[in-house]
Amino acid sequence: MKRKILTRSLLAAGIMLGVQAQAADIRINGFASIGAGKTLSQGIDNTNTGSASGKSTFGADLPSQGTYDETFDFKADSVYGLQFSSDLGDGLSVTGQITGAGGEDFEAKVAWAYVSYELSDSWTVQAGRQRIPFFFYSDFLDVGYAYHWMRPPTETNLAVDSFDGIQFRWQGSMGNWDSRAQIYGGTNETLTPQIGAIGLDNIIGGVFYTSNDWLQLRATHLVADFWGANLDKSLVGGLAGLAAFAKNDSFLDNVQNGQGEDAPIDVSFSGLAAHATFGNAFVVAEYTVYEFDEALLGEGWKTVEGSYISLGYRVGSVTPHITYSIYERDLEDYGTGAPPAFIQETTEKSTAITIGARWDFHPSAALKFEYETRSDKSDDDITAIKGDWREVDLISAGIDIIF
Amino acid sequence: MKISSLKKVLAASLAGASLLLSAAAFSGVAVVVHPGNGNDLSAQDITRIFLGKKKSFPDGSEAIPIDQSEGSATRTAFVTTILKKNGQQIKAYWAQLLFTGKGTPPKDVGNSAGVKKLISENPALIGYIDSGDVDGSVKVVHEF
Repeated sequence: MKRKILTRSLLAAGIMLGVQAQAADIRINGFASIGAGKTLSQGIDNTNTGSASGKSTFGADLPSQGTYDETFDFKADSVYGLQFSSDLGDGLSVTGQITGAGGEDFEAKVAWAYVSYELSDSWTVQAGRQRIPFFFYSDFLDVGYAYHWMRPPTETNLAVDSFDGIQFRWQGSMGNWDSRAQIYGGTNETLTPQIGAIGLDNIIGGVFYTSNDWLQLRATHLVADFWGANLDKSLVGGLAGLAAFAKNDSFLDNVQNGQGEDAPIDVSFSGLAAHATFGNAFVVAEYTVYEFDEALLGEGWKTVEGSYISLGYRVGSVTPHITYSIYERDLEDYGTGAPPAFIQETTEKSTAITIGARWDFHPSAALKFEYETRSDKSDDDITAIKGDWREVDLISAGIDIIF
Repeated sequence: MKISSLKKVLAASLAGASLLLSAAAFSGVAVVVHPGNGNDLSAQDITRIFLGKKKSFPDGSEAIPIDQSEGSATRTAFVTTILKKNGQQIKAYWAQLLFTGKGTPPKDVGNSAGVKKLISENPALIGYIDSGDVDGSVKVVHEF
């Protein structure tokens, strides 16, 4: 519903802009990625990967739920985007970005739609729909041309990707360092496959980014009120039976209160990233963590950490690269099924190695190949229920274009 | 058969000649502004303006960078020497800023003649041209 209204108003804005095109130039830019791939490993039989058929799956793009399985697929990593921007003069500009991801059958949606106003040489205010700057690559996740992988490590990727709100941006320089800061606030509502409709209210966050001619550093932090539609207290009655098996007071409180819109829980997100270039070589590393104040009902999510380190070396127009990534999710009071499928504390963990190459065969296009192998390192009590569900191998290839 | 091989020879010698010509014509690159612009610019100031990190000249007046066409020898030399990036890196850099609303790449205004014409009409502009094309319509602030 919200999307429809936004689409309509953007269309209306587009028409209005079109009418006065003589007064203000409209800049149109675009990007597209066509990817293909398949998982290689044996499937495991579990219901928690969204695949009850025992297929081995790999979630390539969480916001669009683009997922690979054992059959060759051309959708999971594929995305297109068109950006319209118009400078209306005196520091005022309008930007809209329409994207369509293969995971959502390329249905057009408004990824960005905002009005931007330059308050001064160093301050800008933006209002509207914008990307939540969770990760180093969040802002340009869809623009495959801008990075070396098929996709940034999925350990640092979330189903939630944008917010509707306001943002203040600052940029400045000191000595050899150029810095940017962002402070933002707003709300989000997202439909996720695993826990249904979720929302983030009262989002408040900030990012600090600084760079010189070889090093980039970034720190980000966000707090919000998290709620899940199916975590409402009216719906969690079925879980009350589990309370008998829980010796944890917070679990009992959670069951009584629910975690629906009426009783949201606090969530915080933090991340650090660094990118260094040494001639033809580069290294990029990131660590992120998000934590719920109380474990999520049923799913048990409490603390989720994602991190990676990636190295690349440019040889002419070809950039081979290697990445090591780690995912770790601490669960508390896990259990949606009948007892004894209930665990007070456990950890799901996986590590992955990705090797690949990017070939810049054209000034505006890159060809990529990649192989990723991921091993499940979860605790035994959780693998007894879910199986080694993070264990998967994936091959993929694709073309990224900007225009 | 004869005609096609003749064509090939012709094409090859033409290509050779144009390579020689472009090498001969390429003397150096001059970063230029409007003759009335009194700012002293370091290489770092120029880099910041052309990477969208700074929107004004040291005296506080507005600075708008303009580019030559992609693939031109002057642009390649400018991007490699002053901006210290290769063609793909600069493109990826602007893709990151453009699609996140953080900046827009400089307008592409064609060749040295296009740069000179626009700069002579607008004191806010800054561009770069082949040193051999410098004349009184613009002022050189940096040369390499």
